[in-house]
Amino acid sequence: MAPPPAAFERRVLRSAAEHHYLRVRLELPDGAARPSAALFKQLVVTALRELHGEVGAALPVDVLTYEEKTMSAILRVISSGFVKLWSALTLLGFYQNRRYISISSCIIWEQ
Amino acid sequence: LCAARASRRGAPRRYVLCEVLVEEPRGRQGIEERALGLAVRDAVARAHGDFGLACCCVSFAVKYLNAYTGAALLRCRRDAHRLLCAALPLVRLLESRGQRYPCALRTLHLGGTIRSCQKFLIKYNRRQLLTLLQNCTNEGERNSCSLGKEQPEHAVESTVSKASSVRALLKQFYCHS
Amino acid sequence: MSSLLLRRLHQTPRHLLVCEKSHARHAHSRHAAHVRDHAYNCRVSFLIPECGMLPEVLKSTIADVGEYYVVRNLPLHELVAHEFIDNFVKKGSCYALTYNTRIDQDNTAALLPSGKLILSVDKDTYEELGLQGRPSQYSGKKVMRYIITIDLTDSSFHPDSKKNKRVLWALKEKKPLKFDFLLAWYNTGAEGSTLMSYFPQNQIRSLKPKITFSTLRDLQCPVLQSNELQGKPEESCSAEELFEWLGAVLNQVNNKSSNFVSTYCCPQPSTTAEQAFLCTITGFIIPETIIQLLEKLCCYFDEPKLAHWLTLTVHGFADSPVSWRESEHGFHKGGENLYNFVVFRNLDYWLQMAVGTNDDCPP
Repeated sequence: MAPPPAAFERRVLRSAAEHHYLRVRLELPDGAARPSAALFKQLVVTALRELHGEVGAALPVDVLTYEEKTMSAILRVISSGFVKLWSALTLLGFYQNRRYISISSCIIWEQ
Repeated sequence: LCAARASRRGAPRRYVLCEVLVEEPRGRQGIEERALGLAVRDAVARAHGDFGLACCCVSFAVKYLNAYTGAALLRCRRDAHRLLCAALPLVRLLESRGQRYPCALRTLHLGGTIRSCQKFLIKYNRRQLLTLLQNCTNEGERNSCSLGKEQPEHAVESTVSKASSVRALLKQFYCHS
Repeated sequence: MSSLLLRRLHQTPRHLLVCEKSHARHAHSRHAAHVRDHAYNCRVSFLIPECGMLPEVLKSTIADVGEYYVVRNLPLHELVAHEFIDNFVKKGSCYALTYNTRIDQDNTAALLPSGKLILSVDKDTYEELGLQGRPSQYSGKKVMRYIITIDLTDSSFHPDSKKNKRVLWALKEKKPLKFDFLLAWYNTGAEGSTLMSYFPQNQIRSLKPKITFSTLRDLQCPVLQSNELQGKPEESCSAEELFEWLGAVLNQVNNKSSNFVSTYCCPQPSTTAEQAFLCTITGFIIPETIIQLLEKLCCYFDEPKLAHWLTLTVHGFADSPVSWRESEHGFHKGGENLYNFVVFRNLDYWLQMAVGTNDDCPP
């Protein structure tokens, strides 16, 4: 016999997301070498270390997707470090000792 | 009332009482307040980055350093005391007058006023003294045990309020208990 | 100040996820109502595990996903004009949403199928317009944004009423507002003039939603049990875990987790599906289409299938002034408002509704 149809149940989760996601794009001046995925991650960690020190650099950040052609990536970070990551990325201004602008933003998937 | 008090006195502060541990206790005398401050600042910058340093540096100061006993009192904003406390164990080296001292900081007490830290320091020193005296075997050792023979009087004075010598301190201690 | 800053550093802005479970054929099931209440949808995607191509039952629905229209530089008073109200708003469900406007800095407008026109305007425009409104819920102490709601189908809004004249005057002469609009119209049977012929030819353009198909190979899928919304350790995954996994699948996160770059992995326990079919429709999609699609997806399980469940995900416009019903929507940091159905083989379903910071709790 098939189990009975599910009874109605509702759960509201308030700010319970374990992770937050960020879609970011790296903007380099023309002709600059494009970083690989590993280098990109290194760059993110460097940004965190600069603004938030070793504590910030220890945040679990994952690069879920990275497209080398457009230099856009989706980052996943533990919720408590979301503000730290976003601020660190915003204030990062150098890559291999050259100035660049990074436009980050757009959270793609809450939760 | 609390808010009024806070506004009159400025932002609330926290005082961290800690002990500077160095390999050679006599070497401590060369350490300056400025050197300690710089070392702590450096540790905060390493642990919490530019953001943490900026948070911590607001009204950060070394209020007191006893070069003989190694007791030091650091002041910071109340909001930032967690950042400061977390960074204290990372202090490994003090540079003073061109000399480098490998060291460590031991946090003894966290207080809201200098007075509460001073009270704690007196109590702490008494306890330390008692354990040291219990380990002594003869009178001579007893007279000189805790702070060393070349310890000038004023150092003790500044550490433990009114006790003018080890003996006086001891007397005071037994009277109290 | 500094204390607030330090506290904010570890906090994330508020966000809500509402999970519901029920049965699709249940008399009191509210799934269709939830879909209907969410008026503006920009992306619909469904994922069917153990399926290699578009199923027969869905072909006709996918083929006639309704078209929508883009009208450039449309003065707002045209939507309040009586000809428009009589021909479209009262004769079916009319959806309109300003296009390329940002909810947190520009003026925006939206027309709901219930006949309510909602304007979200900044302070200066509000004062110039001189229409009655209320301050935005999320504007803080200093109100910089106002919401004006005009009920076009209300009996007091007939052509000769004072209210109607006032609105027309405000939008025509006092502060003429012009927007690019996305329009869609759904009517049940009754023939009438179409939006295409109503608006001037050089302004309106009809568009088909963009549909993409893809087949994913060797996809790791979480194990779900329809009556366990919270999941059971070692036995099934919870709704939150599924939601997170689905986000990764829709964004084509490949599952090669290397330690340094990414530590992402599929929630456990999981099974590997040999193939999975993913279809994404982007455009201005009206709820009626989605309800139809959902019905057809339920019909997919009429015949025995390998899949235990399938999902339907709908993303709302980040810059629309409303999310569900008429509850105000703001952007804050991402403007997300989306929902997701998981339909099980026995037609039980899970519904997950997620909103960001400046949003009411979904119904």
